[in-house]
Parts: sequence; structure tokens; C-alpha cells
Amino acid sequence: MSLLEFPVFNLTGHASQTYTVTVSGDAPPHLTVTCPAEVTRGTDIDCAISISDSTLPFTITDLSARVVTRSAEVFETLHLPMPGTIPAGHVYHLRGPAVTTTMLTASASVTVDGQPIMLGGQAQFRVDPRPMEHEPYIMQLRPQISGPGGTTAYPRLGAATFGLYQSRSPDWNDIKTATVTSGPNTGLSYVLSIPGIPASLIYLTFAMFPGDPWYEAHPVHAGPLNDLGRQICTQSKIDRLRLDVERHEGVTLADSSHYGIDQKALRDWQLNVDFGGLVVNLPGSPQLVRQQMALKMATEWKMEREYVREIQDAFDSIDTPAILHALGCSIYLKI
Amino acid sequence: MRSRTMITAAFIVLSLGVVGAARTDAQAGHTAHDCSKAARIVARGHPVKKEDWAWSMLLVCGAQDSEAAHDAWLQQRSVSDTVQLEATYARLWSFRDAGLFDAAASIAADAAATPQSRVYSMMMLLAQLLDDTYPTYDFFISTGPFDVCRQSSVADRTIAVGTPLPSSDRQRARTLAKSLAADESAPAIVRSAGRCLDQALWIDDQVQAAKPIRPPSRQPAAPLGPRRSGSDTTRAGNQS
Repeated sequence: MSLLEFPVFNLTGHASQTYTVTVSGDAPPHLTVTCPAEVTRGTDIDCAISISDSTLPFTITDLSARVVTRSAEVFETLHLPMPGTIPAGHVYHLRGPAVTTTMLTASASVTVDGQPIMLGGQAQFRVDPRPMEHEPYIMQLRPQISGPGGTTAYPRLGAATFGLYQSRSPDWNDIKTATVTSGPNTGLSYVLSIPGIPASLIYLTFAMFPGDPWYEAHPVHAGPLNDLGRQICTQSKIDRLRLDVERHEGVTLADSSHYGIDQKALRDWQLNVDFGGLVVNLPGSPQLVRQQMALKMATEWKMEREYVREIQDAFDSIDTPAILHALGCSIYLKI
Repeated sequence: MRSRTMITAAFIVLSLGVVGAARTDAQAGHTAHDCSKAARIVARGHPVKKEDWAWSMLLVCGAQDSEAAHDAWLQQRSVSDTVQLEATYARLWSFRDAGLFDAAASIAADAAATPQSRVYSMMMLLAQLLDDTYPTYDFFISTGPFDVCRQSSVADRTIAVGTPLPSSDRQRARTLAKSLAADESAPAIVRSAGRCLDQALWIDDQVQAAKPIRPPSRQPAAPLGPRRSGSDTTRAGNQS
């Protein structure tokens, strides 16, 4: 690989470079577009456009940037403001934040010996993720527990199960965004900061706790049978059930819990890559742009949730019967 | 021992939610009687703790309690006390039923209903439509015109089905939500709830359209290179 080649994902890109070439005779001028080969998202970049013959003024007739937007899935072409005629000996600079990998293309006309000549040039720069985009986007807070001593009421009809695990979305309205107003990425909006994930909530039914009528209705000592002819669980077995339900929901932060599954999926999904790399080209007020970006994040979040739901359901189908089977008794008081 | 009977009934229901125990004929007869009694209590639409067993019977009674659930929700039309609304909502949110949906849609659209009951009705509509969603009042009332509504998802939710929802109910809810979000004469919290419902359904549409969903491969983006033939593509449009 030569010095001017660099990997662009799975292919090879070529960095632009400025050459000083001395030619003899009447070789036509050429247009040079240069940009740094790579920068970190959000940092300023300086792309320069010049012609080889410094004695000639030139007029930029087209200036566009082909960019990757929306988490590297869509290509768009930005038509950038054109500066008009650049005086002889001057270099035109495009300075501003770089937010996404870009191919900058310029066309210019120059007059040589009274004849107009059209020139063209290109340069590409790659934008690398910021450190925050590599950080795992996971829950940093332990789940909050309901039940006795807890603060959150149990959602009732869901009381058909002993516990309920509730994952809450980030507050999308805390997203900070910015729109680039100068340079080769003018008009693009990107994400400055991403809100954290709130603590999940775990609801436990009061029924499993001493003092609740259902708990207290279970015998202290083994012996009584229910109508199915099965031995009714003692209160100590209900205590064990409670511990298993707590583990199942995620009170103990176990991997084999709804919380543990949720956390692992978040770690695998790497939402920070999508969120941090979200770059859009949208018209409208800053509020509207921010809202549209937040909607895209909320949609990606929901995608991840939908994926996790299948895993959670599969976990339930195995773990719930296992918990009840392990008790070795019937939780039914009467059928 | 009457109170003991009620406790037992309530937690038979609770257990069924977990293990799906088979019912005997004798049990079914017993349950029919309980369903009828429970329906009368539920229809009043004013839950109190000592009657929790009746609300729990919705899980067992299914369509038999459809009318009761419908009537119970209609009772919320004039309620502005969010404690009571929450209590009723919490007992019905996982009972999926066309009658309940109709009642909620009716109140949501009713300018004469209290704003609070209209908000809870929109939460109920969403809870009726999406399996893993747990709409909450604080999120539904705090979504401004340029905000995105927060949502909660749940695991271990057990949904009891009464009368199944017609397939058109999703679009019906979306249309209602959009109209309320845009209704400048509606109270702010109603408009906020309209936005929440609309956004939640819009996002879910995007997700359903993207199925099957797999974790991203995290393959690097294709290089820009020379412009390729074909049009640029968009994975998800902007919400209109």
C-alpha cells in the first residue's frame, strides 16, 4: 500500500495530496482539492481548492459534497454555497466541523489565452467516531424495586404474574444536536450528546410477602392438600418463590433475569454507534430537526426492544415453569 | 370465611397467569358464577382494594366481562382524579377487548370528557394495541410539540383477551391521535397524549416494517467512491 492509500472500510481509498509540479510549455492548469484524510466527528476540517497556475483567477461553478448520513446507510449529495471568482494566487478554504465521511467535488472555470477551460477536482475525507460512540450504551443504574418499601405501585391486571419488568426509554428530549453552518458538511445535523438510560423498574406482587393475605393463607407446616390433591406450598416455599421471582426479574442483577437479558442485548446492540453516528440533512427549525433526530433514535431503540422481546419471551417460557417446578408443591390454595 | 374465598379466587387467577393450569368442568361452573358477580362489580368502574378479586377475574372470564370492562371505562369520562383513573387503568390495561377499546376511543374524542380521562383513554388505546408497551401518565402529558414521547416496554405482561380487536382499530387510533394532537382547542395534556399515541404507533409501524429484526452487524459503511448507479435509499422516513 502506498502512502497515499488508506483503507476505507473494506476497500481502499486514496487521499488527496497537493503536488507542486513544474511543467514546461503550455500545459493546462489543473484544479486541486485537498482535505485531511481523516478527522474525528465534530472537529473542524479545512479543505482547500486551488489551481496550479497561481497567476490565474478561477471561478467555482459547482461545489458539492457526497456524504453518508443516517448511521452510514444513506448517501446524499449536498450542494454547497459557491464563492464565485477566486482571485489569482488565492486558495479557497472550506472550514467547518466534519461530521460524516465526505467526497468533496469542485468544478471551476478558468480563462487561458481568452479561452474558457473547465476543471474538476475531488477529495475525500473520512470521519471517525468520537470516543463516546465506542462506549457501551447500557444501563448504568440498578433497577428500582417495587413491593413493600418500594415507591412504585404494581400495575394491577399485570398482577396475573408475580413480577413485571419495565424498561424505560431514554428521555429523547435531552438529546443535544447541532447543525453545521460552514465547511464541507454545511447543512448536516449531528448529535452532540445522548441521554442515558433510566433505571428499569421491577414490580413484585405483595402476595409473596409476609403479611399479605395470600402469603399468610399458606400453611406454616407441610401437609394440607388442595383440590388437585397436591400439597400446598408452605410459607417457606413461598419465600423461596419470592427469591426466585426476584432473581427472574433482575433484583439480583443475575444474567438469567429480564434485567440481565436486557443489559446484554444493549451491550451487543451498541446503540451508541447508531446514535452517535446519526447525521441527517433535514430542513426546518433547530427544534424540528432535533425532534426528527430524536424520532430516529426512538425508532432504533424500539427496534432493539422488539428484538429483546423475543429473547425475554423465550426466557420466560423456560424459567417460569422451572421456578414453579422447583418448588415441589402447589401454590394453589384451592381450585 | 367469605373474605377468604375472595382471596382464594383472586389468587387462583394470579396463579393461572403464571402456569396456565387446566380447568375442570366443576371449576368452570364455579367460575361462571364468579364471572357474573365480578362483572357487576367491574362495571361500576370504581375499584376498591377489597374487590380486587373481581377485577382479577377478567383474566379468567374473558369475553364474558367485555361489557363490564366497556362500562367500567365509560365511567371514567367525568373523572379528573388521576388516582382513581390510574387505579382503573392499572386493572384493565392488560385486558384486550374491543368493547374496552371503543369506550376508550369514545372518551378520547369527547371534548366534554375530563382532560385527564381523555389522556388515560389514549394510554388505554396504546396498551390495547401493543403487547409490550406500558403507557404511563407522566410521559403522556409532557410531550410538547417538538418533543418525542418516551415509552416503556415490559416483560412478563399477561394479556387477557375478551372480544378481539378488529384489525382497523390501529388505524382508527392513529387517526384519532393525529386529530387530537392537531386540535388547538384541546387542552394541552390531551394534545400531548395525542402526540404520544401517534408517535408510538408511527414508530411501531417502522419497526414492524423492518422485520425480521436482527442485531446490526456493525459492518463498516460502503465507501463513497465514484457515484454508483441507482438511487439513494432511505431506511426510515421522517414523520409527517
